[in-house]
Amino acid sequence: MTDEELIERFFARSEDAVEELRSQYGAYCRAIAGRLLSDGRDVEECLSDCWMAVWNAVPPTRPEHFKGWLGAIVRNRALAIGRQNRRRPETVDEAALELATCLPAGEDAHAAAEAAELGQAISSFLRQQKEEVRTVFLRRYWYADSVEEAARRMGWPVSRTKSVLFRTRNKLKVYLCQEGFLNGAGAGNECAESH
Amino acid sequence: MEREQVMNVLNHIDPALIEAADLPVKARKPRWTRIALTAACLCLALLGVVYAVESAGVRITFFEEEQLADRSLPGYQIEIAPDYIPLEQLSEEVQDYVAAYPAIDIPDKYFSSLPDAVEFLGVGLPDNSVLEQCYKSYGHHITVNGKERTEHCIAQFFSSSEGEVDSIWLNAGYLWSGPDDSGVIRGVSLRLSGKVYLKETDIEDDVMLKGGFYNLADIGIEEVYTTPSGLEATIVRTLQTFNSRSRQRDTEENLYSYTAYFVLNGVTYQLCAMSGGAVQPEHGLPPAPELALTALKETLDAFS
Repeated sequence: MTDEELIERFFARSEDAVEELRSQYGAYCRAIAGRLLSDGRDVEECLSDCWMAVWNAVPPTRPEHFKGWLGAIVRNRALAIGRQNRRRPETVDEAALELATCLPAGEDAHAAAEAAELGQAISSFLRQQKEEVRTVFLRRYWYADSVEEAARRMGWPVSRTKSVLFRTRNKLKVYLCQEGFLNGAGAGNECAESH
Repeated sequence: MEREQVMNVLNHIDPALIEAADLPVKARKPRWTRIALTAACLCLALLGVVYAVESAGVRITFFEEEQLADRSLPGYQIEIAPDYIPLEQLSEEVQDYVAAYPAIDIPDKYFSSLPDAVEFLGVGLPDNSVLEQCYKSYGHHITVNGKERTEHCIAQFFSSSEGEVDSIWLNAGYLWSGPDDSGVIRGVSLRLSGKVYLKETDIEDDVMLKGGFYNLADIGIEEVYTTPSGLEATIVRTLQTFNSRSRQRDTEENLYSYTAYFVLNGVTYQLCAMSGGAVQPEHGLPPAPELALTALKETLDAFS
């Protein structure tokens, strides 16, 4: 079943829409949730919430890239559960901390709008990179693969994977400086370091 | 930025990119660059069937006896699929140094320590407590202001016919002192060579010949070794029996060497441990092959 056909099932409020969704994307969603949550019960709770979320969102939403959109729902929910239950694999925090060094400090008052804008900027940056660089970056920081898992997926040595991630983070920092994201308080030093 | 904020930002990345990152990765055909020939010599022993082994970005091809009979081919050939680090990503110091000379005429640069060389280049070689404790061998002879001296570490600059520097080679030698702190040299020499590839070229100029009158008695992949910190290295074993007549001794000695090939932060390294002679049973140490391999692995493990 194509994504368009699956979406039509939801639009038609078909009883088997969720079952089809689970059949087609269950493994994918479970892999994402399983990477972000250390407890199996949390994973099951996450998936249940996500099937409900999709049922409630479609319609009216008609996602253009259904799999990516679904993955973001799962990821978001898994992070929330992990935060709430204070249970999360170490690799998730490790990956976030790695990336945090090249992102601007957020101000709470405008956090939501800034996050969306920054996410779009990172997307633009990634589109300018080679496909393999894009893939390893997202596998590490969005999918929260460990470095070893990302290396295996790419067919690279671990050392090369670390090296590519390191250089890509540096390039991202330079890009964000040029785009004006790293020009807030204390960002003068950040931009200087990146050059 | 805080961790939770980072995670929130990533949720706003284009779903199309997220989707694409979950597709099977297309197997990339590596562009192999030959980095070493070994024992191109007059007398070579039977090696057996040609085969190639690939691991951790290193491919090693062993040649048949018929090909060796050509006498122009090595016992084995090593190729790597290198990472490329553009010159502008190295330190400002090395960029200024390269800019000061024509590409084909950049003088070698010498350092009294490997960390100094690494800092000069701006490449990320981790500290190594074993190398720090080793005796440094000063094998590079230079003359400065009419005075001769020897240096421990050298950086050499290679350029292509296009007139640009395309690689930088680091080389440093050590004597491994073994597990005993008595200061007695255990007969294992270590040599660490690093090659920074700045750009792709079509010219196969990465040839390091280990020439000499060696009988290559045994050669093969010892293992693919992973250190506790996750560094992967392909270790090649070489047993060479050489005739010492040139040293005015009518003896044959075995020279055991193990060479680890690995990539660290984009730089391609060879770490060679050589152990020779009938080694020191009076010191309670294992015989030569194990000693060289022990020294090699201990050094690899120490890259933090």
